[in-house]
Amino acid sequence: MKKISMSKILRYLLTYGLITLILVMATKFLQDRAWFLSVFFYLSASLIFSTYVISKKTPGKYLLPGVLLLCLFHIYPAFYSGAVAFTNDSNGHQLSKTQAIDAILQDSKIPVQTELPINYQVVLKDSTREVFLVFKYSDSSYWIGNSKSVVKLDQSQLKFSINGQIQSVDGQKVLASDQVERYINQIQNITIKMASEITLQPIDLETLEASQPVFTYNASVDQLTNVLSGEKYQPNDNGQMVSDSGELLYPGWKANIGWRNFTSVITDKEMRTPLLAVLTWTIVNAFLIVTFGFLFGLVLALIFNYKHMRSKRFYRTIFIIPLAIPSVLSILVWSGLFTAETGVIDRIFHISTPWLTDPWWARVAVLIVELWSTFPYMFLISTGAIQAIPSEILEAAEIDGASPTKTFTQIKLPLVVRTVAPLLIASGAMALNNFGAIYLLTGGGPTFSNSNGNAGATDILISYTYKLAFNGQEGNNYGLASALSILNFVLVGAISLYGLRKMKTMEEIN
Amino acid sequence: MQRLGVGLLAVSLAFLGSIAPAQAAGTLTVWVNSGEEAAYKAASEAWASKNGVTVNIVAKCGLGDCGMSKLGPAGAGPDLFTASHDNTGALVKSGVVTSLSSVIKKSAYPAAVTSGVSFNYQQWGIPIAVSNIALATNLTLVPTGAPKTWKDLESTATSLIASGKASVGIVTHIDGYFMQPFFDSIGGYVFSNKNGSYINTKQVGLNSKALMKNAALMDGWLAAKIFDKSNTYDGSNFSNGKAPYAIVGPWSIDGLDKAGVKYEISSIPAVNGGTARAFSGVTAVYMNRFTKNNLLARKYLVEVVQTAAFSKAITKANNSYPANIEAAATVDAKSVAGKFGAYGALCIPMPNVSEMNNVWTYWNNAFADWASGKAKFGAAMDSAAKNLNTALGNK
Repeated sequence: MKKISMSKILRYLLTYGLITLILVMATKFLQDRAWFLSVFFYLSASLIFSTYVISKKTPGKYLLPGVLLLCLFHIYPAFYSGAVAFTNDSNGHQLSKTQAIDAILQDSKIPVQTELPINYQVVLKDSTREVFLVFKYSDSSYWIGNSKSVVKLDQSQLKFSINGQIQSVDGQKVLASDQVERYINQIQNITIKMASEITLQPIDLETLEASQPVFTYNASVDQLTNVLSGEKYQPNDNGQMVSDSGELLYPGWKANIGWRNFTSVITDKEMRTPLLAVLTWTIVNAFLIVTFGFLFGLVLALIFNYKHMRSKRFYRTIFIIPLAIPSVLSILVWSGLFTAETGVIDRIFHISTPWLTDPWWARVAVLIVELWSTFPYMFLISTGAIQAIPSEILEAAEIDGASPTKTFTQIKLPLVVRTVAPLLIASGAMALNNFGAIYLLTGGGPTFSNSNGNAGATDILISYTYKLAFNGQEGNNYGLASALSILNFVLVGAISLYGLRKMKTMEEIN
Repeated sequence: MQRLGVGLLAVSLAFLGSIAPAQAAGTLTVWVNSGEEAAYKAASEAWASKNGVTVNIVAKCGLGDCGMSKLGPAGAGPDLFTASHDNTGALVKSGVVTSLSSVIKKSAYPAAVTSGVSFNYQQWGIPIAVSNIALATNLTLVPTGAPKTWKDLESTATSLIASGKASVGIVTHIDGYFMQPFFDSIGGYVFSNKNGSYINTKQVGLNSKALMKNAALMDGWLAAKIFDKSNTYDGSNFSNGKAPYAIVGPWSIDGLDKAGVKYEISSIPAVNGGTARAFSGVTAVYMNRFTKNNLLARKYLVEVVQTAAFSKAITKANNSYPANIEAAATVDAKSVAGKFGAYGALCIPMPNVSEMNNVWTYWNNAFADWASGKAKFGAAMDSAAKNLNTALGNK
């Protein structure tokens, strides 16, 4: 018998444990009718099984986890928001079309006044265990029925108890009230359609409510008709029923609206004006942060490179602090410091600056905070780049009689920039998407007084997108937000691509 | 090995069959405001055990619609949920709630309360509590107690500020909801309203004639530091005795008690005498249109939520005022809740039309612009009204 090592057992336990877990989750998703996720999880489970248990191919073992997680957390959301961008998914347009029309029909029903409440009793058909309701309707006739059918009962079919209660129908006993509750799930879905469009629905376990529809729906021509006014409503291209006179019915449904979310960015003035300001600030903000952050970091690095400086280690530790503190924490502290008049900054300098309420000061505040959080990184990479410059080159420059300024501009700077350029471009892309700083510090505010979705002076594209999607004030507009996030992706992608191209040509020159 | 894999798959498929459907028949799920779940649980327990039903109270809601507009249609919503009545219009237009006209016992509530949960001639929620903001007076700083008139308030505040005892007159958020009493006091309104229902959203009163005439008063109060232009709600100013007055809601009471400050709750006096009316909000229980437990939920609403005892139990827990008339009669008029309620009876219901979404945006922005000194009050409100009219397609 082969000896089974502890590690082997552990490995098997882990692999099979993981596979079982994924299978269970896939099954859960199947029950919730989340088809994509379910299929994806089943597929993942089988792939993991074949890669780690059956096959001995090593590269797959290293690639698979990354690929699966990439699919789940990046590719799937990207495609999903891509799909949402072409719909009008927003408040009031969350239902499917059938749900929406159903809601319109249901909500407009007018209760019909009956002299006495319509009490019902429950009968089970012997053979099928189907639930039927027996009730007395207006003209003192008895009826039996459910959603499928309703028939009038003959007096001879009924048997009454002494106190006038129905005892049995066609020899079938009615259920006692304590038994009725067991069939609550079937009873609650029953809608009995009587003649002349009147419907009966149970409102509790004893009573039926009679109501009359205001609208009728004709599925073949896709048209709602108001029975009272005769007005006809047809679906418009924005997922809503509309009459000829332009009256809209609510709720609407989620509809495909093509490129309208994208074009509205240009055609809708309430969208265009704030978006232009937001876009400008996004780019200017990213550019300023990277430039100032880098210059500041570089200057510090040069100072630190000076041989005779003392207690370098102490200062270096201090400068790294902004990197070490979680930015959520530090930004919230900053926002407290910036409070007008009562904030620490205003108190120390005895000034009254509307830091977070004036558009220009808010932008300055954002820049200060972002500069504070980026310079340590820039300082680190600059230090690295400067120290990587071969000392022979610098010595040669010194021997050739180059002045310190010339050494800096002609030798150090080009070499440093060449090394850190890719990092600067990455920082730029990060700054374009620096949601946290904006959201926590100013919330994008102060807001412009006239804008769709509450855009503000310090909003960058991604924080504005967030506001459109989840702000809740203008109503959530997921469709438009998805379209904007795609625009954001294009913007960041284009700038990064341009930067990388530029860098390549620079390298060729060198 | 392969056999083991097939076995696992079989096990997982068997699992599919064995798991009971997502919700058992005898379970009701109710989403409530966080912090209030214990009160709801206690008040539902007797009914639940009597009927053999599990009432699952979950703290999921805060302001807004508990995310129902998204979760409801996706089938991820509860059976019932609580929301403030001003969401009614938006909930109905999103199609995520069911009409409760056949459930609500209208006579149990004041007309203003039922009109809050009415929309399109139907009732959509069962009211539980009424809550509104009110004026709190710091009794250490103002031993004479709550102001009877606006002049009283104004002179107390200005003299305290002048003597350096106070740094600001009234601690408040400078936004539509908190400033509504002062806005009302100088003649402004959001939509013209008839007996508490706001059907006519064509008539916007953000720049009403009376308001434009009196707008300079607001500028004066801001300059006199009666309102704090930094627009930060610094409650510690009030509890530390640096501000004589604060606008508070039932939700602030716990904090004030903990801070040990001596205060008095009262109505807010209007400039020209009488009372400045704040918005009153009704907390109500709404039914998810996509609930699978329609009848059970209705039963719960009738037998539990609609009772005076329930309204009383919930409001006792959070210092608000019962919506139910019978329960309200038992509230001690001298208690904090009683004082909130006394003022609330004079307030006007917050509009529940979905157009309010736009109103809040422009209105709040106008207040912010005014507080930051970007615009005078009249100009800020005038441009807000114009923007609002454009957004709503009026004119």
